[in-house]
Amino acid sequence: MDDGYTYDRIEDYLEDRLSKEAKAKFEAQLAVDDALRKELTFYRHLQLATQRLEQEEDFRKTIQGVDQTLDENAFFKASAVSIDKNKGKSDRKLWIPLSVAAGLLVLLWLGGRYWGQSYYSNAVLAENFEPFEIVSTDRGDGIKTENQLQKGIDAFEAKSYADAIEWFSSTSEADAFYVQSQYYLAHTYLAQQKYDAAIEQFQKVADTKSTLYKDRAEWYQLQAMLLSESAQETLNEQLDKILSNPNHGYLEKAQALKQQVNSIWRQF
Amino acid sequence: MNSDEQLLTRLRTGEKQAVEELYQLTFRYCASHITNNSGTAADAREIFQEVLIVLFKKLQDPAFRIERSLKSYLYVITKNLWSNHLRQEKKTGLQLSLDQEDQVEKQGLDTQQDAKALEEKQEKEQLLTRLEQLLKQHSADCRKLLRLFFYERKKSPEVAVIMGYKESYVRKKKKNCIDHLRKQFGQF
Repeated sequence: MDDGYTYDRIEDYLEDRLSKEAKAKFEAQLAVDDALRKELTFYRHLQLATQRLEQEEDFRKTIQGVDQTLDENAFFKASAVSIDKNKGKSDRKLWIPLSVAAGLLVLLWLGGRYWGQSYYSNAVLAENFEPFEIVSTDRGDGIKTENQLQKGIDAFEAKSYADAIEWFSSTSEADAFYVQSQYYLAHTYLAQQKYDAAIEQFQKVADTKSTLYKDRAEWYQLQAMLLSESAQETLNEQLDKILSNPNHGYLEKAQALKQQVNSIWRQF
Repeated sequence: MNSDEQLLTRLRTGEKQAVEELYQLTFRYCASHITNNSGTAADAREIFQEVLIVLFKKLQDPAFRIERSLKSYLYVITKNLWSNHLRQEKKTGLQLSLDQEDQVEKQGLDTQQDAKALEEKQEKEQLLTRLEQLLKQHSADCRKLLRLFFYERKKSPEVAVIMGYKESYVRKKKKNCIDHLRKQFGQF
């Protein structure tokens, strides 16, 4: 580049800061000086490139400034949407195993409920009691004594429970078969599904302290309690009462029943 | 002049309030594309800044105009930039994206300008882009000095005061900076 032309002079020309004479002289030089024209073109492009670059830098700073100031307004509203969506996605991901687990729990609960009701409900436990033994007045010779007891037994076996109750109730304490009749009377109430009456009647028999019928009465009283809606709270007390007697005739059965009554399956 | 054109006019000058309005109008819409396509909120912020830079560059061309709404236009740029980002071709991807945008704009230009004018424009754009790259690599002092001269349009005495140099040194420094760029640029 000719030393007579500084970049300042090129700039003055481009910025139209030269006098008329200086401008004319510069343009005359341009007309014949190819290198100067190239320098001028380069300078002009450099000017433009610098302007564009610096303008862009300034604009970028403005954008960054706005981005920062809008963080708590526009951006976080948007990002909240994004987070919510992501949350939705992660929730959906979480919902799958949760739904499966919930489904399994429901199935387990339904299965447990079915199992509990099939094998551990009060009705089923009551059904598991073996039928009580009826001892007729026939002493082996085929001859039955025609007394209230036998008439009651006959009525019971004929399922004429009202008659049976009448016959069993008509015996007096003086009769030898009195306790037996009272015991059968309790079973008649049971057969009639008069569970509370049965419970009361079994208690009367138990209170007689009869060696033959006390333990039986206490055991079958449990059966009546299982079936009675009003005797659930006393069920365990009655069981504990039997279990507290190591010589009770139904001890083993009572132990098994206790386990069944307290079984986890009954919780379903 | 519709509201988009008014906003673009204000953006052309880099007005901060116009940028804020643009954020309010379009950011959530554009960001939704990124956050709905495996991007994070931070990605959305970063990409949207680049989107605005692309728009700003376009605005420096007086012939630039938007056929659709500004919101849709920015959404398209966002999609392109994000696609490129996902392909991990950030540099070439960005260029591709700009090329794609150019195609849209060229359709309008072609009807107004002849092929030669378009070619000259493209050549000039290439020159400027090359110079911008060189400027970015230049020393901080030279960048600042050239900014003062060419962008802030200061004269040598003012630049000397700002830079803390003697005026004679400013002239010498300016010559050195430009000569260095000239040399790097090669044949013009």
